[in-house]
Amino acid sequence: MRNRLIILLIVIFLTAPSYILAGIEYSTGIYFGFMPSMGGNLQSYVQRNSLGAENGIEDINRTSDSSDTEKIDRLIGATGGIEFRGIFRDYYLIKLGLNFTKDIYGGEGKTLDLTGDTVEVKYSMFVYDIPVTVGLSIPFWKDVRISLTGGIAYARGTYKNSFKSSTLNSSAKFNNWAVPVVIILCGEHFIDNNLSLMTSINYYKGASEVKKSNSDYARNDFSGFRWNAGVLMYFR
Amino acid sequence: MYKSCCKYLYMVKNFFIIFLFSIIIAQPIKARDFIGFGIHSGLQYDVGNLGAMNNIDYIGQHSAIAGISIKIDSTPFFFRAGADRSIMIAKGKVLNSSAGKLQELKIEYTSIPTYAGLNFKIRERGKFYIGFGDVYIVGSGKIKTTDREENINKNVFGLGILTGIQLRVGINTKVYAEWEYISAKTEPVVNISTGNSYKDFSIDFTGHRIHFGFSYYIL
Repeated sequence: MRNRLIILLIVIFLTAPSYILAGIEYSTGIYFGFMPSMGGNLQSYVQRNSLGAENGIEDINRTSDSSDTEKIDRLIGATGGIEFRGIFRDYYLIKLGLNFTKDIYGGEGKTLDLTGDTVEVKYSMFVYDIPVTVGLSIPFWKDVRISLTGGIAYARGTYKNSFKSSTLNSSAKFNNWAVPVVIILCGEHFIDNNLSLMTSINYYKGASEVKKSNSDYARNDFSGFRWNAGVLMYFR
Repeated sequence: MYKSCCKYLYMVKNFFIIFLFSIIIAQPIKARDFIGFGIHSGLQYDVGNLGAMNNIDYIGQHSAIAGISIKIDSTPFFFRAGADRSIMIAKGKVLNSSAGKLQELKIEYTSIPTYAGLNFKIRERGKFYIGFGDVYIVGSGKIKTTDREENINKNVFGLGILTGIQLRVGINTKVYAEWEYISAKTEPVVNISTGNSYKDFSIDFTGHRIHFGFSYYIL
């Protein structure tokens, strides 16, 4: 009896994957996009303590008629990545991705410190993340799929800042990770049976622990919206 | 010969007139789906994005939105341009000194967004679309601090993300609902910190907007 049970379990163990995998539709894709407000407010200890900026880049800009300042814009990131998808029973979707995001605009300029002295400011950020999300993907005939998935990501990034004036010379580099929550709304338009154009809106929410670098302390904030567009290839 | 030719031309002319008249009065059978003009209204919560400030006790400014749009659909792509006017419903208030000298916010603006992206046809009933673009904002308003009330006029470029859904309700008419996220902030326009004279408060147009509207497709 015991031997029969063991044989039955072995048979189930060996054959079950084929039943599970047979019903899955696989696809892989590549996409590019952008991220407004990359890095959140980029707050750090030096900004609060030495410059009186309570809210990082959101508070850093100061100007007066007699000063030589340049507006410091929020970081805009260029993003790109690849993803792998499995669709179970036509509707249930699991996605695994790998994304890279780098600032391409903003984060640089001149402001004033609390005494009115000019400060040169520079922020930059690089992030890679691996999101795993599950959700629903609804087909409309054979032309369109619309999906909504949610999950988490492993995100790691490097945030650099520097503040230089006649009385302040601070630069820091924070390399840290977090597991942000991810929500992805995605649409696909099939241009043939195996190839689709896709676009998506992704929302990340999460930041790392505070870390020290030189005399500064900061988090790496991975929160924000991303817009992506690309192509997906299905293996049917 | 001449008479029969004239009769023939007369018949052709009459047939042509009847044909043209029929085209004019006939209801189009194929739905128009290329260029649509839309009119919409909407809402924005926390205009000025006071909620992004640290440790602030406030009541956010709420605004209604009235706008027009033109959407060009060429499956699977779309292009959408428009103009939206924000109309203040309730002004923004800071409840204590949590934002320095800042007390009240009354911001209005006209935004001119242009978006491009992908359309996803939902059978013959409608479309779902996602796009991105840039937005030019012409802003104006009043900012009240403890020591002055300043009139502000500032223009700024921003980035936007748009997603929406259209439902066909007639051969050429659709209703639509959209969510729009814009990130745009001006340079500092007014001083709100105590003990300094520099300008350190910027108008932040960043935030979420919702539109509900009606569009008519002419082609």
